[in-house]
Amino acid sequence: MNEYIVKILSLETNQIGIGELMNFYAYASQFSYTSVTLNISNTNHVDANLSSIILAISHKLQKEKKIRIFVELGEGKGVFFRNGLISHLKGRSNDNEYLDLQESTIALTTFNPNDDELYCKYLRKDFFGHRGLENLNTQIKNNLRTNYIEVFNNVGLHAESAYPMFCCGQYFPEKHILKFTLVDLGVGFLKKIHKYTNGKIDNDKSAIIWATESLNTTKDISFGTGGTGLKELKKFCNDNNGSLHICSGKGYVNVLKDRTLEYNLPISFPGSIVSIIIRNI
Amino acid sequence: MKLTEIIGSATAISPIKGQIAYDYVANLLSNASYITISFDGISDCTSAFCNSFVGKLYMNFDPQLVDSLITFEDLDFDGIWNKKITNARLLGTNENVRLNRCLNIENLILY
Repeated sequence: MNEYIVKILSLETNQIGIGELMNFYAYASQFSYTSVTLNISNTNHVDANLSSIILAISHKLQKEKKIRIFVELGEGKGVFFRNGLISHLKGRSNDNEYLDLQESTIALTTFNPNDDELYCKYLRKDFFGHRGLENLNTQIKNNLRTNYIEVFNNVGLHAESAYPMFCCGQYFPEKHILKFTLVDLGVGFLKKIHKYTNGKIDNDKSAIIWATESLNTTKDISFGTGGTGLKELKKFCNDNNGSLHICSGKGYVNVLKDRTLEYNLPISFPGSIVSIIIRNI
Repeated sequence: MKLTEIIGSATAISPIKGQIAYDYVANLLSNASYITISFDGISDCTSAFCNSFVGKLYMNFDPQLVDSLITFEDLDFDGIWNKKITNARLLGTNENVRLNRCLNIENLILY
């Protein structure tokens, strides 16, 4: 069996770091029945919340191409043991083999659509019960938690994916920042929005922006949906100097307090990525 | 009646569970029975659940009848669930919203 290695230089929650992971995915997906190593030993800074993307890519490649992913960490990257990525890549779920004594991670966890009770417990305990958010107003936390449940609901209903949803977070106590990334391997934003808008929305970036605009909403004849999660997450970021990073297909949109930045990724992501950066905590 | 007993869960999240609650209450409404639905014990509640449950009640029954026979109690103190129920009622009773919804058969992926 051949082994292939891809070295990346950035693993940050922005269009560059996620673009690097997309390049890795594109490179690995040209093979089958082999292993590919993601080498992050030369990255100066890592956002371990992006473990959810690495694991999502690993799941997809393993299932569709029989490719096994390894990660070469280098020094000072113990966080990937503590958040469970290494356990997951070995085929085990996060078995707490490595204790997160620093309490800086929100464990990498996967959820199937019927895992709603487990997901709610995870949000309550691991995410919004995290020490990094202990100073955040309770009502704001409850609002945010509800919005993340709406997101989960809509992924299960609409992503049209046989894959689970992947979640992971990272707290940076020195910077008073917490980053959380949620990934699904579904159809993404554009397909259905393009159809709904009769072709008016015809690219990934516009679809993401359309989905976060307050006047646009889900429409479902059966009264089944109606989630407002993304819009409310955007509102939270506007009100609290946070930022929301959304990626779907080749589109990458970073919603900041007073502006929205748009980028094209070099490779199309087969699903959706939603990252939030909560500051001043 | 406790919602947890109707849906068999402490999480009122999926529209499927909303449909279970709808079926239960719709049956009672058809008999013009007074119903009090308690959210006691519910840990989380979503728009999708409320739309599937409450919105459909207001869509399929006379809103005045629903208002006169159904009471919701023990809602969360933050007011979030009450807002979701109010929105679901609005959707169910608003002809324009209902018409607009019916124009689109396909679900949309919107978080």
